[in-house]
Amino acid sequence: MDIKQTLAQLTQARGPSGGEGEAAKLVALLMQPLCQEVTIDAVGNVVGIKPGTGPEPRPKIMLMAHLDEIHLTVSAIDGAFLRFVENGYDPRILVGAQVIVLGREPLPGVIGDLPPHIMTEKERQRMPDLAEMVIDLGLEAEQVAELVRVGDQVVLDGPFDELLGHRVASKALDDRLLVATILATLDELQRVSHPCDVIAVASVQEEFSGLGATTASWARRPDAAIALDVTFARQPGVREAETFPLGSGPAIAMGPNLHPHITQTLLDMAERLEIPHEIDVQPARTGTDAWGIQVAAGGIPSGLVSIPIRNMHTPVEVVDVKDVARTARLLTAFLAQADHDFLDSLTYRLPDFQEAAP
Amino acid sequence: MKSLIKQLVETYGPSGFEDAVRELIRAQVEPLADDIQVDAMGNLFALKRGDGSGRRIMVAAHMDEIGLIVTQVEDAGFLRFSGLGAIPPKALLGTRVRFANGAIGVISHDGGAKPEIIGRDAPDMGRWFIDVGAKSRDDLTVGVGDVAAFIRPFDDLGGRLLGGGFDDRIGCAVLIETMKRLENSPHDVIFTFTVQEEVGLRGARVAAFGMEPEIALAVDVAPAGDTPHPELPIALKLGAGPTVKVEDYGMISHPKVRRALERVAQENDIPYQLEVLPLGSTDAAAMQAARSGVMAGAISIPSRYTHLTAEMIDMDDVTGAVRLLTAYLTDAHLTDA
Amino acid sequence: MSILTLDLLKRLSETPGGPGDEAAVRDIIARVVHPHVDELSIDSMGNLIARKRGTGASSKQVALAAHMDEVAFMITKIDNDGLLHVAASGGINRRTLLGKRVQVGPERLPGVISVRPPHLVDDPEEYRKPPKLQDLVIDIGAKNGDEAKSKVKRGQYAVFRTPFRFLGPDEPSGDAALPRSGRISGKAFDDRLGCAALIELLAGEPFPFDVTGVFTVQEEIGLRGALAAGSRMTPDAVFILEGTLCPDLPGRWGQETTPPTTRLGHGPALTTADRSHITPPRLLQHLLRTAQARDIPYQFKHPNVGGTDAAGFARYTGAPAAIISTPARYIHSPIAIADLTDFWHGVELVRAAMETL
Repeated sequence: MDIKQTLAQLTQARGPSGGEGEAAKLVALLMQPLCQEVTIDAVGNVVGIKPGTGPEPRPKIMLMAHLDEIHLTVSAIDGAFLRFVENGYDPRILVGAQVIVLGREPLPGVIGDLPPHIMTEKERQRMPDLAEMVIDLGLEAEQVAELVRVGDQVVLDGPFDELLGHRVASKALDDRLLVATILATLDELQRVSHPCDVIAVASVQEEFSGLGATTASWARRPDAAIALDVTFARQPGVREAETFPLGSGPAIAMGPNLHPHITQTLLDMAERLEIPHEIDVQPARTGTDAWGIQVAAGGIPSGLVSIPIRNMHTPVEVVDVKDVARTARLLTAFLAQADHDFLDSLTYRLPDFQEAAP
Repeated sequence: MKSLIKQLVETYGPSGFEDAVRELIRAQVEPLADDIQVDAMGNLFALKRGDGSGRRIMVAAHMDEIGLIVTQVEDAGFLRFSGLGAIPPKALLGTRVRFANGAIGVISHDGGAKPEIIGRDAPDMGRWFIDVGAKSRDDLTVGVGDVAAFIRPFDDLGGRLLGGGFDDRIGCAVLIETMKRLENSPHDVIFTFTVQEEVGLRGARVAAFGMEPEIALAVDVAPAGDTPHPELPIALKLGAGPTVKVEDYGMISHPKVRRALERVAQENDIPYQLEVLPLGSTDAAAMQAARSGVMAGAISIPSRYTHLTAEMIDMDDVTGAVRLLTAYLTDAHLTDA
Repeated sequence: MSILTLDLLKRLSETPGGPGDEAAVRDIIARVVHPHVDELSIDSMGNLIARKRGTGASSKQVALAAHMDEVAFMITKIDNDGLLHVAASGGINRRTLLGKRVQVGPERLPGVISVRPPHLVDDPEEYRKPPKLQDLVIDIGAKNGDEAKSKVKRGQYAVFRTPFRFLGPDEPSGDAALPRSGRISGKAFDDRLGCAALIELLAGEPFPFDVTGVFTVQEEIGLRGALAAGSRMTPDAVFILEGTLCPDLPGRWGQETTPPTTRLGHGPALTTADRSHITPPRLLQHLLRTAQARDIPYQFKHPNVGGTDAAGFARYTGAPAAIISTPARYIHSPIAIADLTDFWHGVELVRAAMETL
């Protein structure tokens, strides 16, 4: 599988939270040759099943990366301009940004700014409020009224750029990078046998409400799951304790949101296979699909593997694509050993009551 | 319909203490339903069976209103409190409240204090107090844990209504009125009157988990943006029709539900507005996430001055909502592509 | 016949058990309750679940719960000087951290939270603000990064290191039955006191109905164990046994304050509502009537603050849940103080309420 090419396709597909349709269709298409069955469920999750070898019932392991990207929504039409709402990410990147308004057809737009020449000193010293920003399509009011309605969604425009070495910049690496990783894993699994049924899910609305993670978990009830997301790479001004060097390989999370034995298995595997990796310490909520999965359907043992990127939630997210192949190797090895003994090792044991307490 | 609305908004029913509202509604819906149930949390379900060819649809409105829970009692008889639900501080100064036992009081704050937000997102602010006229602590008939609701008179302005508690007693009224009109529906419709929406959609979450609907709709209010210099860029206006919700802070409506609502509105010549809100959430957000997921959407009545003691709505929007909901529930093609 | 002793309470209080790291506490509890219950198991989250058959007089299903975890730190980085940087797992009171003692990792290595000596602090503003967690370091005495890394690892937990004490009067011997009065101090009273109460209830006489006792995990970071268990259970009632806040301190010197709602020594605290749960009025009334009928003192927890596993159990099925807590001053800090009369009255109230449900 050509990872860069797949990634370019995936990142450029439009799939805002709650409107993932176009991206979902693309992912379903790419999953088709790699899975026995691919469906899009009632809330929009794309689910591909690749059965394992051996008699039923087989262990069911879910891999999940989220399909949606952050978005804006048109909340009012103000003459030739569009007012909008956004849901919880850095509004600073919107000033001067290029966007795509998903109206009657995809329309390129700009969120501009006042020219500095006429700004007051006070205005120069602060960022604009959301309520001051408008999307400009460069059209007349009558044309806008024809093409756009309140409720239309807007995504950021961030083309796929190849930088030096193996690094690329694009919008929506969060989390299409890991959707690509799942596809790369499914591709490897065509050549590697695995005792478990693999349930590959591209989930909806992680950036909004986490709807896809919980609903897919309840629908499929896997025996264990690994969520896949991006994490923070080192860049100027960020703390070392909370970030990873770009291209340092998959970051394997540990902490209360993750099952300790899943974490340990992934770590041992990465060591054994000499896959560069980092340990990601997560003391509480991980802010990923793993949080919803872990307590769904009575409790599902969960793991979390992340790839570090710079400039998260902007149109210029940066990653070292070597991390995709590394992560796919790790997940393939994990799935290849996920048999009933492995599931058994996930259960917590009571102490031996015959033995005296320590 | 107006007298039903008046009765509903004047009944005491803060989050967790909805009994009186539920009794009132139950008396209205029992003769209209094929089956009535109340679950462990106090949600009321009134089922109207279809002809078996349709879907299982939950339509919800919440019975509870925001309230104030007494947290501390002063020796001089003043009551400190905290908010159940999001209480705008603007609503408090000089407002009258009443407790379940009928005790009536007024709200003020410590001299020199700057009123601050109280409610779900902030710890209780000891600067506010309720004065029920007690001479001392020993004179009180209410205490820690008792809950007060705002007193809000109802006024019929003709085309518009002025009163408190339209959030969401108007939704309850729309549901009841729709039940009266609904006939020849292919769908099994569970008219659900939920509890504890204002403190976190708690009733609706339990209702959907238990009843497992395929489609869920909430009927609630949405803030209008048609007063002078509105703070937020919301395009909703009083009198322009009920809304079809696209997105709010907690939920993105399922495209099929939204499209069906729009189609039905157009086919039946019902004026409607598309609703996009930067804040707020409804029972639909909780119902949507039940188990393996529910297709969800919402219809809202535009309202001015939400959560204050005098909200304003337009009867055209209300009757429009009843017509829209009735038409939606009668339509046989709800989930067609 | 009570099975609680000061020694057991000491072990429960002192053993480390941050969210996700409850195994040592769970083992102690499992060993103690095992002879007194009919079934014992651990679910996929790590919750310890005990089933105790009833006398058969009632077919109700009742659950009791207490959480095993305490607020904790996790090591995020070991620097070249051998100092440990941490993040919080659960809501620690940051104002209480400077200059405190901790225990690190499964070996319980002693450590201290460093403080810059006042002589070396330039900015007087620094005194006015609680430290940020990212600015704190734990010192285990390592000479350098390599030595530290040979002893502890990133991802390991650190908790407060606080000896459990009986504050008197007249300290009894450790293995004697837990005194009925007197005050105690220690860490993790939220919620090892609840665990002790649950142990005592499970070890007593059978109830009229089958009872499921759940010792939950990860309550402090979002009721996680209760949420996982809650979707699998449909009890007729749930009683949550907690350790709760007790803000009965005098206010600023010279200023009168509003009397606190919860005070030490005034009985178990009953929740009317907190941030995540409203106790169903009927269940609360049952508790109040039971207390009044048996002359058991009680008080109300300060309403509308905090959250407990009640919301986790009630979230999917709406199970009616009540919360009975032993008040403890200074919870979520290195050392709390509680009154054993409040603890025992709480146990008595829950048992009586269950017997008359």
